[in-house]
Amino acid sequence: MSDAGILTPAERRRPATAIGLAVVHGAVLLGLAIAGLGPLLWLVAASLGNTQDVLRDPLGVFTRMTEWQHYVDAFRGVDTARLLLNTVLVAGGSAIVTVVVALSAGYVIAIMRPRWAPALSGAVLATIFLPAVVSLVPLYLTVVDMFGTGLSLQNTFWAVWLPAGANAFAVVLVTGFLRAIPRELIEAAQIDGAGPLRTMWSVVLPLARPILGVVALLAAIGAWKDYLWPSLVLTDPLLRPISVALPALERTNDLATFFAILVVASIVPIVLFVVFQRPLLANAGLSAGIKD
Amino acid sequence: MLKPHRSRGLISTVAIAALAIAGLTGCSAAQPDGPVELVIGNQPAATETARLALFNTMVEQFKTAHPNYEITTTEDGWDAQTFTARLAAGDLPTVVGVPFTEIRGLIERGQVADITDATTELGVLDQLNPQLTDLVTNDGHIYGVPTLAYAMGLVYNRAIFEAAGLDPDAPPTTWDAVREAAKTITDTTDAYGFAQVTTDNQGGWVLGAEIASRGGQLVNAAGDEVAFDAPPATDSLQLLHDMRWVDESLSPNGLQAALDLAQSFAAGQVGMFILQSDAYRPLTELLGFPGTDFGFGAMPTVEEGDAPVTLSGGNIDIVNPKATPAQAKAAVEWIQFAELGRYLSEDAARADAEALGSEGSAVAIPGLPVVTADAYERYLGWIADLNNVPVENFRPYLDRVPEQIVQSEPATHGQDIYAALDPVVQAVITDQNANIAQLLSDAAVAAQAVLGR
Amino acid sequence: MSALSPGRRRRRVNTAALLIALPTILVFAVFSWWPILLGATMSLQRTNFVGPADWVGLDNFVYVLSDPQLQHAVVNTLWFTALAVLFGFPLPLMLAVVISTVRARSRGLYAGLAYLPVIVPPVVAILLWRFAYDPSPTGLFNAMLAPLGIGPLPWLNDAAIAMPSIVLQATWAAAGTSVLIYLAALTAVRPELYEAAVLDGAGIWSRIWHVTLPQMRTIILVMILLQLIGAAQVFTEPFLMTSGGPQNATLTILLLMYRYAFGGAADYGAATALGVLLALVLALLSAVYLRLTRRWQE
Repeated sequence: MSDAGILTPAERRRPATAIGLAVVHGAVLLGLAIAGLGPLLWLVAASLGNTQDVLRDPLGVFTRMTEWQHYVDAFRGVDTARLLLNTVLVAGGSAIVTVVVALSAGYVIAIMRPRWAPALSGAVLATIFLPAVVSLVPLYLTVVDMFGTGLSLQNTFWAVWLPAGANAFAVVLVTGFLRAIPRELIEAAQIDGAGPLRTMWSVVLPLARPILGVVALLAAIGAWKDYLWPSLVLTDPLLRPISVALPALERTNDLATFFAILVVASIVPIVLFVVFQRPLLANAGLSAGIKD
Repeated sequence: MLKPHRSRGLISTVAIAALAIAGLTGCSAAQPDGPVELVIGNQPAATETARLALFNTMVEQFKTAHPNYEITTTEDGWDAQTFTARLAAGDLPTVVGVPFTEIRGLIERGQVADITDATTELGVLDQLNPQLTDLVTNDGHIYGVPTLAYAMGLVYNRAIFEAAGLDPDAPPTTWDAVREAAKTITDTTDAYGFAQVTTDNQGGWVLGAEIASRGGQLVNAAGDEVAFDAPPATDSLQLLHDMRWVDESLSPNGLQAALDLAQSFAAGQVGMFILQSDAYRPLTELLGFPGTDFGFGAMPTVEEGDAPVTLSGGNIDIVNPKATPAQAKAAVEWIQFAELGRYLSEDAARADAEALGSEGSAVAIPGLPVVTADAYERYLGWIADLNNVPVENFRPYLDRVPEQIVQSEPATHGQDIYAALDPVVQAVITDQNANIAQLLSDAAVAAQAVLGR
Repeated sequence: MSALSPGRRRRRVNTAALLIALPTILVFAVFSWWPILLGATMSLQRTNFVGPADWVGLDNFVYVLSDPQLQHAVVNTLWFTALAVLFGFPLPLMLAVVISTVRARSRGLYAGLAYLPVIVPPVVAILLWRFAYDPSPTGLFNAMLAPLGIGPLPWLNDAAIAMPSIVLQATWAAAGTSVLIYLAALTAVRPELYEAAVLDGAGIWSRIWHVTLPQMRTIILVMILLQLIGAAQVFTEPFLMTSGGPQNATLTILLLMYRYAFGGAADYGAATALGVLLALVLALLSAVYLRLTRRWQE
């Protein structure tokens, strides 16, 4: 796994480039830290402050981090473990379904290329054009009573996982990514007598890890953030993820205490990122395919 | 009657699709003498331990009193987006609370049950404040029961008043006095004297209250013509303009919904604004504002001595339009027991007050009585020692309640009219050269078009 | 080459492909295509969701097309889209390229920081951005610009700069997603191509222009299309920051749709009609886009 990318190792060693690179990296790091870390650090500091002070003087929260009891108060009467568990299940399941759907679609459209591939691709892409609010009520009606069979997905996690899988954005991304895989690799596998599944498993999947990692992460985050749909289909309080519980918690806690809840809620996506960054950032490269 | 809620019968695909699209009403015949299913909404969340306990106790009592009712509860409440979906699927609770702002639209569209029979039979009408029945009545039929009501008035920060040398017990009662007080506050303290909400239809709503306070109307009596393109609106907007650009006593933030304004107010950046008295609750419970600094006066008027005119807000309990008559009756029985009970029995009143107080919630914020004035006075007396709200701070309002006129909101399309007025208020606050006359006439045209739809 | 005849091979592929695509087809059919069809038919109806719906033909479309607010919404949405793609497209791409030059070990840190704005809870993001955009001299941005002699700006309160202000916030919130996607595409660029370019004497910029970007072109083209469509459907930012104000200067098509559906009138017919119109336009534009860029795709 070489670091060879836009810059060669030799160039990196050259003083002029090394310094220039360091400056650019430093500036970018600083910018990202302020823009990204800043608000979250502010949230943590504000959660340890007093609501009035936070509103009066937002920038001064870092000097007044005293109200540690918010973290106790916020979770009084809240089944935090269950909320977090439900959140992880909802996010995880959505991610898995999204990846399965996107990968199978991408593989068929970009690699296998049957005659009807453009039709499938178009039909999937078309779903992005119509805003979701239009299909909200019909989707709910479908989930609550699947085509008149009386089968209801309400209050099951499938009601959240399956619609999440109909993610055209993910399909389009994976398809685009797979399209860039050189045909020679695919054909090489076929010459070796590999069937479609074998080819997917040993050639395509390793190469697609980065985009699948991103798609899984984005699907998980999307599920974590989503409030409207889970509040509709998961009415049983025992099944609710954190996003649905938040508005009620907002109503019954003062602002700074609510921030403490948000801090804990934000831990989920951060952990998800740490988990997913490996496949995402690994320099998969195409050398792996060729060696085979 | 359509399925009351999730039924698992075998209905063909076509029928389901048709229900959604072309909607065949073909449905089950009236329910025979089976158990009556009652789904009660607005159950307090698990974190509201005392209120939830009280709620559960009441549910148990109700069950004992009505053993033939099958009662379930849900935390579902009013949400603009989920309401439609649940209504379409038949998932809506049998009884649920909706804000005042929604009731006319819901009645118009037939999305609430007609409970005239139930309310008459149970004598609910006689218990209610006659000033509020207009709101839930259409063509002689009743469609809801108000359970909480507030009036608009002048919310002010007593501490800022004192710092500015103004008497916190004597807030301004005319619009000219408001302007003077705003200027004083801006000149002597760090805060802006006055602020106005401007978005989410609330700009138009508050402007509507300001127009009403000057004797104006938003629509004509029949409700089919806009009537706000007139001096009361022009004067209200001119006042806002002068406070903003001449005195510079109006907060320059032209894009505020109630919550944004509440945040500024809680941070001590604003001295006065117009809103309902129950602003007390979010200010003290969520935003850390000290209750002792909260002041509330009646709506300012044009001349000293005029009767204040106000708009109202609050909560109305409605019944699922797909409910059977038996369910509607059960629902109204519940409403009468759970929501009006505190005004009829000292024990219920104190139990309710204790539950709220123990959670640090405001117990009884002076507003508009939902029940008759006498019953309300009696209620306040029962819980006087448990009420954690500084009622004396509301004196400037309470003293004027006897002469106060509560104006009805437009019978139809109220929200659309407010929506048309939001931009007008925003323009006046953000654009120094806004042409008020032009803006109003444009808004009138836009609103008239909606009335015609 | 397999010993099957081309015809049989084709059929084999088709069957296998069908089986593999089955999860996708099922999920989309049940949870996407069917509800969309039902939803689209609502544009031809008026319903209160209680009784039967009335078929009103093209009434809803006529209403929507003659609504003066629509003009505002379309112009604003075009304006937002132009600004959003102008700022929101190059920035994440450049960031991703820079991050890809960081040592592999530290890349996670950069990517993580870029990604954080995506997970900041909206209530916090709005609070902070409104504070930043406070029009009074003590607002964060105004306070930062004061030493540079730039007077207190009205930001969201001025019809002219409200939209650019929102674009800035929207870019901040969404850039992280794009950065991660571009990073994924960057890792797939074969090192040999860079080595060959170096041998040809290509400088750093030349390598980026002639190797990196062309290798990423499929993803880039896809992202441009997705960003255009996403920008045309922008809702959350104007909804939370300005509610479409001041004076409807930030009213977008989706916000108008939301107003139809959940504003006082609860007019689902109008909302879905507007949705259908938007979908048709976007479909047309996408078809044009895909045809024009076919040359550049693999």
